[in-house]
Amino acid sequence: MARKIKKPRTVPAAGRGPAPAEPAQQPERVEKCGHMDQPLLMLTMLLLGLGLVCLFSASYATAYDKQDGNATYFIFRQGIFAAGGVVVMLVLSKFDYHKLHYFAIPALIAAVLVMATIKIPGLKNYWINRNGAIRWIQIPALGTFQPSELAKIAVILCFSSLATIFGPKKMHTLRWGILPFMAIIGVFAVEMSWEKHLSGTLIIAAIGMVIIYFGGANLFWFGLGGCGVGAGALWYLNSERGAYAMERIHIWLDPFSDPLGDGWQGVQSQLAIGSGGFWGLGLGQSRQKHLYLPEPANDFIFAVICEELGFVGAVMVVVVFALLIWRGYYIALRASDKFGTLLAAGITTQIAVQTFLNLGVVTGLLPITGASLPFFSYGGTALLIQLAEMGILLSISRHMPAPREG
Amino acid sequence: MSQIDRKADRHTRRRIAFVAVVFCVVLTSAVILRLAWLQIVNQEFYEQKALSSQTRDVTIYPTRGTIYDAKGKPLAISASTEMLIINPRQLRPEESADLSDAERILLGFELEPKYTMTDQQKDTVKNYRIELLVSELPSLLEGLDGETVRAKATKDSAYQVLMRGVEKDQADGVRRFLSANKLIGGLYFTDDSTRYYPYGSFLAHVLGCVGADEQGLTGLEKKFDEVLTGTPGRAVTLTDARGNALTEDYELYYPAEEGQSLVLTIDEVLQHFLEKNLEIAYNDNKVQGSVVGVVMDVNDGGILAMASYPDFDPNDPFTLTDTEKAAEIAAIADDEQRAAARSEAVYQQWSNKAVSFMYYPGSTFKILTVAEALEEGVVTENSRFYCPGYKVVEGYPKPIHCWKTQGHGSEDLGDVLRNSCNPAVMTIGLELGKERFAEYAEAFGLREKTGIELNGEAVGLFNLQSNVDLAVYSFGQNFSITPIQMITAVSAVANGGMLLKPHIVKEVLNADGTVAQSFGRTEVRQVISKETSDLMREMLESVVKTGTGKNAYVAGYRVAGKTGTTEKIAEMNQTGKDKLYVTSFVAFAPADNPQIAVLILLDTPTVGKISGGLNTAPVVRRFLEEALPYLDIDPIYTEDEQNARSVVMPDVTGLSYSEAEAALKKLGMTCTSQGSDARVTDQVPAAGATVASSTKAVLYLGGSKPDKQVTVPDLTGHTLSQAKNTLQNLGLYILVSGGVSEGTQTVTKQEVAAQSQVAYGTVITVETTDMAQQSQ
Repeated sequence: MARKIKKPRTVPAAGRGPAPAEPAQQPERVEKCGHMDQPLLMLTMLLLGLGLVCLFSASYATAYDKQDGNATYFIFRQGIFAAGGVVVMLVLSKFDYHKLHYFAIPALIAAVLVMATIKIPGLKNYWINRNGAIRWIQIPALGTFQPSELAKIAVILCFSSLATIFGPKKMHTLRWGILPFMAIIGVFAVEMSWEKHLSGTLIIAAIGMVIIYFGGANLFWFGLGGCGVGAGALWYLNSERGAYAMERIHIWLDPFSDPLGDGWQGVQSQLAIGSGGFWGLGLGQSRQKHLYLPEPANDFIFAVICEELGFVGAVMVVVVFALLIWRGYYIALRASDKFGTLLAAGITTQIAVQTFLNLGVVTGLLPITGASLPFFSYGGTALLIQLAEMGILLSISRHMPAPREG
Repeated sequence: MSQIDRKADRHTRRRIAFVAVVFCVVLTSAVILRLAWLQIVNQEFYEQKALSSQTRDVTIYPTRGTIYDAKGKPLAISASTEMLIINPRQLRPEESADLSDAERILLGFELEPKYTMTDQQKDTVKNYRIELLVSELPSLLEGLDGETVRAKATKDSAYQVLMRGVEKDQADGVRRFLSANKLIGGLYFTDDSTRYYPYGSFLAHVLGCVGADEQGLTGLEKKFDEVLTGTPGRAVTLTDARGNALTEDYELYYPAEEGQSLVLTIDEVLQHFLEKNLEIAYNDNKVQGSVVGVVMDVNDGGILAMASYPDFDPNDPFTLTDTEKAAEIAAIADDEQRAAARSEAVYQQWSNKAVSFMYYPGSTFKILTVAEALEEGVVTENSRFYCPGYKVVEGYPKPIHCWKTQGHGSEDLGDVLRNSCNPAVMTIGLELGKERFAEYAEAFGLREKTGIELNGEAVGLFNLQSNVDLAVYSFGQNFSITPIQMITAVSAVANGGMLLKPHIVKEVLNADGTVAQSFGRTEVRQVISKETSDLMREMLESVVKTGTGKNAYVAGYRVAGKTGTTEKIAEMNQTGKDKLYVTSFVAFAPADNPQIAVLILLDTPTVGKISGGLNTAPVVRRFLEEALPYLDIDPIYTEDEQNARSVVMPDVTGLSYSEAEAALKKLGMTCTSQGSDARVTDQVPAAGATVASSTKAVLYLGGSKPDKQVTVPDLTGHTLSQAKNTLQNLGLYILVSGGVSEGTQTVTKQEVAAQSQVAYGTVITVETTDMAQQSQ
């Protein structure tokens, strides 16, 4: 396939001597690599900046309360990871993503093994139990890290790689297009169940399924699987063990039925959002962050944004996310090869799924489940990985053929 | 070209585009619509809910106004105290730094290091703290019980008032306990205010009392509740989920407007005289109901004193003063009935009988009947009447008897009042006629509330239909009025005929002491002319001087008055008991220039031959004996009175006999001597004793008085002259309070009890009553 000749997208900066002559007169260069996608970079930096500002506001009350009066505890740590993350992103953007093919299977194996350490005596001590969920590994000197983040990356890399290698024809079959992928998801599902990490399982399954869907899997099997899951869910809800789930659904639909108990999170989140009104209470003015909202710096940071910045600010944040996702898929569509397309689509899908899962939970559209908001929620390793993924997206964008002229 | 270098096929691109649209258009729109629903459509709902959970709304109580007597003595004051607040959510510790040493040991923690507590451990600490509070607080705070502490400490709340009105020293003790046990976040004090009545039951029925929140429950406290309370302020503070204030600033702050104070027309000294004498009368007469007294300034309408006994302590208004009644109620088995009986008894205890007690005025009402007849020209001062001991009234089957069944014979108008003659008054009433009688009842203000600023004022029953009614009404039977109505009407008769609106509040003061409102003489209407009033004063003075009101006579003073005795017919019919009487006496003084009017009534006295003249007149006399000198009214004594007047025996020892004699003579006393030394070495009565000025002292010139004890005899029932002789023979002295006419007065009380041993030469004070005064 012939590569298109790409026109330089940037003009020399102003002030660097006289304005360039007619572009037509410039010698056109044939390049293998273009410049990284500027809109994606800008959107990423915009979200990162907004995220840090909001995190500072959202976290200082909790930080003050839980960290012995050190109100900048969270923002300081997050800032360090953000800076490191941006470096990683820029480095990865220069990295030829095609080489990631070779990392796909090792990454998968690494993820499965790391997650298996929870069952290995001697290693399982590195896992940290927070409120009954064991999702974090303590890495000396670095802090904590969620292996499920690694699993997501592994699934994206591996699924994109395999779908590319199998090609459309094989992907259309059950044997090649469904079963191997389901097996991998199954392994992770089992490992995640040890962590009691249902939302993580759902996210990984969603990302994986979207990638094989992009890769050309037969929709029939999706339909069949969907019916199976639906039937299973109905059976489960009607069984004795489903009572707990039913209760959660009931609380989701009407959190005010138990505002001080199970409905507390939903109620406090909706109170924060609603009381923000159209214009908001002003940056830093949230009241709900003062121990009313659970995890105001983490899962419920968007509620604080809604309260402080109002409908206007909240819609702005949502729109910036939508634009980022749009741009991610745009890069996927324009990637120079199928692996690039699937990888970009997978990464974008991960960001999209997490974003909308979080927004859905916080606004009450979805039942409460632990889901953080990319770029905003406190969590150093997660931010680092998200920025690294953006780096990969940028790398893919550099190999995009230039838009056709005319 | 290998598989992996190929560009994505159309199929894949379409699917990606589809998912992109799902995320970027469908889900984005869904989130934005949901935000619009929460933040725009339902913004108000969420804001309200959020505010109510995020804020602590504290009422700032204004200081309640003070109630002063006319001379500025505070009778009801609010003192600042403290209020103990508990924040039950704060009892659950957040981190190990919040724990006391005892709690660390309880959890098995070491004393210093930091620990992360599990929820279960936090609950354990909370329960431990609750138990600690339940067991310790009641011993630190009087009146707080453990169960209340438990109920409030276990509530899911950030603010519970645990106890109000805590005094500073008690609060200090609690503060020490809290800091020793690291409970400072969970319990704290704020300012409070508590009502005190420094003189206990003094003026209780007028002042009333307040509830736990200083809200007026009865009396002036209730009637003037809004004025006294002021306007509460509000402070709204933003708090975090545990109830801690977020900032120093208030979100909203409305300062409290302090309550206004009342200055009463009540004179603390007169009130004290009245209360003292009512209590004595209650005990002397074994009164079954209440003793009620009102003193009014006849020229101003101001109430100078008002009381009834039994009373209550407004500092502790729910405790029944009548212990018998309290025991009776405690014995009721049924919870509901007991509670009802209790609240009824408390209500009765609080009721101000001077405005709420309805009674037949009886013969005191003859004042009004006669005044009306004089005013209408139906009778004159010189009209003559004949009393055969009864009167036959058309329409009534039996003759209506006079209290003196043998009759008063021929009498003039003055005699009618002096004798309290029923047939003559009936004749006068019938002459006056129903219409005019009813008009006057209205004009004297007996058909409506007087409008005095007191709670629970009643209006009696007045249903004048026939001439029989009229005949009976004219001497005060079968219709009821209240004491305040009676004294207001009699004041009008005394002051020249002007009915005044009685009032008890002289001024309302702002918090800074400036006068916001003042109240004085309010004329209602001229009821009778000055001439009639003059004549009535003269005749009523003669009632006390020589008539049935003799026992209200105060030596040296011109007292006018009238007795009254009525049977409580309705109650007697109802209960089947007999001899249930209300005896009353209404008086004003001085008769020539009236200043105060007094009405005292005994609801069901049970001692002696019951009548207003015997049971109630002496109470009025005792009150006036103290009140008139206090009011700086100069006495003019007759010779007898001069002799009976009390003086204080001076110390004359060391003086020569002639010097001593001269000193005693100045006081109206005489003396004899024993011995022959130049100087007085001892004296009887002792120096400082209060003696009658006619006393003959014994001065010892050399040697001293016989050192012997004398047994005091029982003098009651003896005539005054007998009593004097008896005491003189024993070497004791007499001092008379009451009538001093030796022939007609009988000793009814003696200050030193019979059979007690006293030193030779002691002065025995006796009280006398004219026992002939049994009129109705």
